[in-house]
Amino acid sequence: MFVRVPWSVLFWPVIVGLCLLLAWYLAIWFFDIPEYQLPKPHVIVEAIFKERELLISGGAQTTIACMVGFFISVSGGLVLSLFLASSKWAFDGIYPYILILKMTPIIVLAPIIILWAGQGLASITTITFLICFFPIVANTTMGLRSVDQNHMDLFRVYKATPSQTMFWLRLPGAMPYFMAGLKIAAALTPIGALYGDTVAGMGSGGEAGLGFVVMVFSAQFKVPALFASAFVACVIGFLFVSIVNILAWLTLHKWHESYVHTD
Amino acid sequence: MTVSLRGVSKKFGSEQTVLQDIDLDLGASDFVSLIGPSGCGKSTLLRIIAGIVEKSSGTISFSDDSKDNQDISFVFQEPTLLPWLTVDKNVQLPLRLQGVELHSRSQVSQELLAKVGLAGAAEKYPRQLSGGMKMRVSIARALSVKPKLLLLDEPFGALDEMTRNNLNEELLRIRSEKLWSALFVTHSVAEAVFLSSRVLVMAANPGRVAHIVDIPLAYPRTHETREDVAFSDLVRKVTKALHSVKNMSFQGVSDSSLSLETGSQRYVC
Repeated sequence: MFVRVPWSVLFWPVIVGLCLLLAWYLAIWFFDIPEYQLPKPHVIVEAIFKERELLISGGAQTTIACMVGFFISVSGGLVLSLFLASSKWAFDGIYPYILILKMTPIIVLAPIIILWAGQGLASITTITFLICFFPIVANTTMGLRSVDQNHMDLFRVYKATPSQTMFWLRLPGAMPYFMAGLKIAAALTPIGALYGDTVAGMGSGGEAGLGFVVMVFSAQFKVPALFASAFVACVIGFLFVSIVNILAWLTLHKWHESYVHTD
Repeated sequence: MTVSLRGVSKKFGSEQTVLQDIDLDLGASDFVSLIGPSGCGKSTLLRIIAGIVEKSSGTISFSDDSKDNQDISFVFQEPTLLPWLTVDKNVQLPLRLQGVELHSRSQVSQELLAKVGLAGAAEKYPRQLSGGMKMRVSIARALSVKPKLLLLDEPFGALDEMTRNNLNEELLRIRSEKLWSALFVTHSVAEAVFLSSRVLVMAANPGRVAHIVDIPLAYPRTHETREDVAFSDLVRKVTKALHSVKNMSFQGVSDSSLSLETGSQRYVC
């Protein structure tokens, strides 16, 4: 799917993008909007170059936090889902508490996490994990539990063990759900990492993440640089969503309905 | 393998009796069909024999000293192939579950796919196959464990008549060595007569065997068998038995034992 992008697919997005740029300039000119409210697009591009050192180091730091947080969310979420789906008592007993954890606002939890894990990467990735793991767990558990009854009978007829049923039937069947959860988590990852940065950044003695950079720009009233930071955050988010799309394609394209060939 | 059922009953809850006092003897080379109105417990009976549904009372005994049901294989109503596995891997699945090593199980799969005429489709995925082809894969998968008893639960119910007739002939061709006995659930009288050495007509509420019709047509049977006068006579006979059973079901439980008796006198010879 992502291998060959026909140019006709790009045509309309590019046209609409150019129209939006034009509208942007026209709006600034027509309503006489000052730069500290809405900078012109080329000023933002300039800001990206001017602030490139901070943006690159901050972006890199945030990307690392994202990767660690995402990896922990995915592996932790998967293991947790397998455990929840493995028995009725595990699901009935533990799932409500996962919901409660999810319902507790992260803004309340963040200070506690920092209290325990200190300023820095450990706290940032924990915050990222708390934001990202839920869509993975909710989706994957749903997938693991919604097995076709006929397939269950099939495995029963041939006396499959519980672990065979889990890894050869439930888990492959849950892959589309897992991938759907992964896509949501990938989009949430930069949010987690950036928020974690604003509350727990800079403490590790290392470099500041993008979230901290945003706070600095905001304090200095560098509006074009704020827009530039938003652009970098977008790129990071896009990177993660793309990685997940590739993963989903690799695992599903041969058999799942969502990748039906049109050749 | 021979199977004997004595007084097998199944109740769901305390009220609903799905099967009542089923006696059934299946010889080593028998092909027996179960036919009857919906809700007469045909599928449940199959599942009880397969060991995926518990019976409420009665006994089931297997020959060959196999106390449990190791040598039983099942063909489901739907192909129930795993969509993420290739045709080849689907056929290998039961052997893989039994821990058979790759080399010998891929050999079995190759042989069976050739037997059902799908040697060229081994690397395809289920969604690339037609309904009839999927069912062939499903049959190949069931045969991979070299069963001595094959249970088939309306395997061709969703297929068009042409495909169904073809698969009926093929099923008999595959079984020509009579290595396994078969218990076949169907809604189609013609299919039951064509395949079976014996047809059991079941009644509903509660599910029970109402008539037994022997099918003395000689094997091998081909498409020409269907044009035989004896074949259409037998179809008529089973259809009549099925009609009497339907009327019985509507009369309710109190009358049914009476009409069962007259019914069996009339149609079972």
